[in-house]
Amino acid sequence: MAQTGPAYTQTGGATVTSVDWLSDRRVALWIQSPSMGTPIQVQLLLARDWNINPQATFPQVYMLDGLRATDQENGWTAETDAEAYFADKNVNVVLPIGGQSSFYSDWVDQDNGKNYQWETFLTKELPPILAKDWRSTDNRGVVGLSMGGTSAMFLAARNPGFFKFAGSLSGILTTTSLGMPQAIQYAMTDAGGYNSKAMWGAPSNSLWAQHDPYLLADKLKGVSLYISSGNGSTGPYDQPSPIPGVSTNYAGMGLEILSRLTSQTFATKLNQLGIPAQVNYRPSGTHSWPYWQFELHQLWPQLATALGVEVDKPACSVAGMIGNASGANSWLGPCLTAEYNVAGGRAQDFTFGRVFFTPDTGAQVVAGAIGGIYQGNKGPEGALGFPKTGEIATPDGRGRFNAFQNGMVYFTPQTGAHVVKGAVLDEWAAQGYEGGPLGYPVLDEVATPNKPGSVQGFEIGAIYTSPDAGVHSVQGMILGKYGELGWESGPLGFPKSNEIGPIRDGGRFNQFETGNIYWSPVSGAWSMPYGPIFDAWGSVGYEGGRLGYPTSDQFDIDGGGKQQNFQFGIITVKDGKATIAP
Amino acid sequence: MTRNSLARTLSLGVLAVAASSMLVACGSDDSTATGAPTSTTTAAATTTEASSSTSAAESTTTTVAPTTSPGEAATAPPEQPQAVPDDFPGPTESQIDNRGQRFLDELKSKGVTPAGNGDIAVSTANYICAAQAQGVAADEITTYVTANVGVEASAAGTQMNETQAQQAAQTYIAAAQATYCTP
Repeated sequence: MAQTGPAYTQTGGATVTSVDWLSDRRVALWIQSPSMGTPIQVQLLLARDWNINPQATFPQVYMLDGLRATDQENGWTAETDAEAYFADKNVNVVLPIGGQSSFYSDWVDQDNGKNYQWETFLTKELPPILAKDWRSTDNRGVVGLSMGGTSAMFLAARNPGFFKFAGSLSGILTTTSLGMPQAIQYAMTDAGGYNSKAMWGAPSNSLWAQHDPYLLADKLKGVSLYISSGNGSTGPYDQPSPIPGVSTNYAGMGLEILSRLTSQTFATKLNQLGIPAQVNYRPSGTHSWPYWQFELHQLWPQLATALGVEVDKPACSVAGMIGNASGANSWLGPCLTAEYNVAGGRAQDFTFGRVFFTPDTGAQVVAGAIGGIYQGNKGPEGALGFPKTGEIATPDGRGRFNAFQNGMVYFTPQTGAHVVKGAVLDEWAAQGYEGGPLGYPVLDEVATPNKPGSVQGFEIGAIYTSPDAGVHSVQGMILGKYGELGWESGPLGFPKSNEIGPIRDGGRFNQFETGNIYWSPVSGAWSMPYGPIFDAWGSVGYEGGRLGYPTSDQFDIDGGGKQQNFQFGIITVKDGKATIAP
Repeated sequence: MTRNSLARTLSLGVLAVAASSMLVACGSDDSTATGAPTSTTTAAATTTEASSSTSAAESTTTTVAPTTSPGEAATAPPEQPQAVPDDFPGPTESQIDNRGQRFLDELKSKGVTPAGNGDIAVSTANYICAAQAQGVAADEITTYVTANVGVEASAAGTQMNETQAQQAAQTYIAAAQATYCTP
């Protein structure tokens, strides 16, 4: 997948720096944008036939957010049923994240620490990535609400041929009419405190006109257009105010009225130009998500037709072992595909997960965040092989897991989902899985950078593998000291033992390739490299003897030599000769 | 629960969980308190949903509501709302009550004739009253209403200068205060 391999240097020059699979068909890409000079997250909802038809390419639907876009998640997935709604649609949905108050345009100045160049990003930098790595055609539609509706229209007009469909839901569709730049400024002040002058200059600047859907309307000929708006009057989703019929959402009311009036003006202009558009004025509705979710469902047939994909999911059915498994897990929802061959077994995709079958493993359900990790590891064709179990709740009630032929995937809401496999899994299992001292995995296993081996992080420690030192865990404060010394690249090398103890006073220690680290509640964690000081300490009984635990690492002393302090004395070494005091 | 866009910012802050922050030991009687497990990995923040991976409870057999000729667009935009599909989330009739009618009458008496059946003008009165009730600055209210008036004028093909638009806006605001902002 896209996360590995050489940096992407074709047109646009944007590079994908990270790929996170959030579920089997929802993925987060982190894209280094050259124009914005910062990583931008874009999430994709992959097409219904993404898995059953691994050679196919798919049209794209850009879903643009409103003025209050956050850097965490696109409003369409955060606030509507878009993820479930698109699950059975055969398009790749593109969800840019961030861009609060940006109008998805190229700004003339930085503001609020942002260097917005969204039009460049969306139309130049992102497309080559989606075409190359995410099986997307240049057959595109765009849907946006509020600010995103404005953007949908001017992006389609300013980039001829880029979008075949543009939908504005409660968009502001004139930007230069009398008083409008000032109203837009208030809206941008309200949504993050942005200055519209940093966007398009003063209201007299021609950039305002160059982004005005009304003035660009003639450029929209040939684009399938959908325009909807409420009228600002409140409905069941608005909190009532003390005044009957008046919402507390005054900002939403104000924007919706502007949206309605500008949409009417824009639609009238389209009509004068002879450009067809589907226009829906609603008898009520404020500037809020339930209405936009409704409009998304309304516009889909027109969008699907414009992109040349079927409106309705083709019929599918479930049968046999997979049918039994999906029937026992009705939360999977309806089937999306027929059964199909994959990696020597069979699979079938459902709205909320997938079912895999081989004669050896039976039919097993993989879903949600675990399904995302499985997909990110190339599913049954990857190292994990086929699932051997469905999703099982852990006894502590915190987590869930699937077992696969060659490993396991564990999930908790706090730690996310991670693969545990191979030698690390064997050791973790021997310690009692998530019920053992280490808890749940918090990171994936990665190769150690400077010498052969690997490490995986868990809640309370880490498991290291080394061809020479074996497979061992290091925990807590001992791990902290180990890190201070440079981990496996430091003087101690890899661990040679798990944590050993309790010993004197409730202490513990780990053995490493060239020394130990000791910890006790009163003395803290300190390293004991093997050598003359260690031997001298051993000669008087280690921590159980008269010196007790170390209370420092070894340090240089004046006149040459080294010293280490202990609870009840010190050891110095000079010219290879160790001296214990007292 | 309010579902408007204003509420979203509040609810999203918790979603991005950096895995690295989970390394804090919790209540084990192991040796210790905290520790970062490795020098070699960085945890990327993700937006993995915080719910269990089997949270999908609802079915997706959504019915696509009928639209006016899917795939084909009407050439003549409607002036007023059409009949809406029955899953429309808001009230399906725009009713102008007595209070709204008084507001429209007041506008007319001051020489302002709103477009259409007046429902947008009544919504504007709603906005004015709600914003004033919540202490929104007069400048901001005036700006929004002026923009409304400006768009309506351009839609109607009326020439209006800035001063005229601001005067019309003040007429709206005064009329709303006089007839609409008290129950």
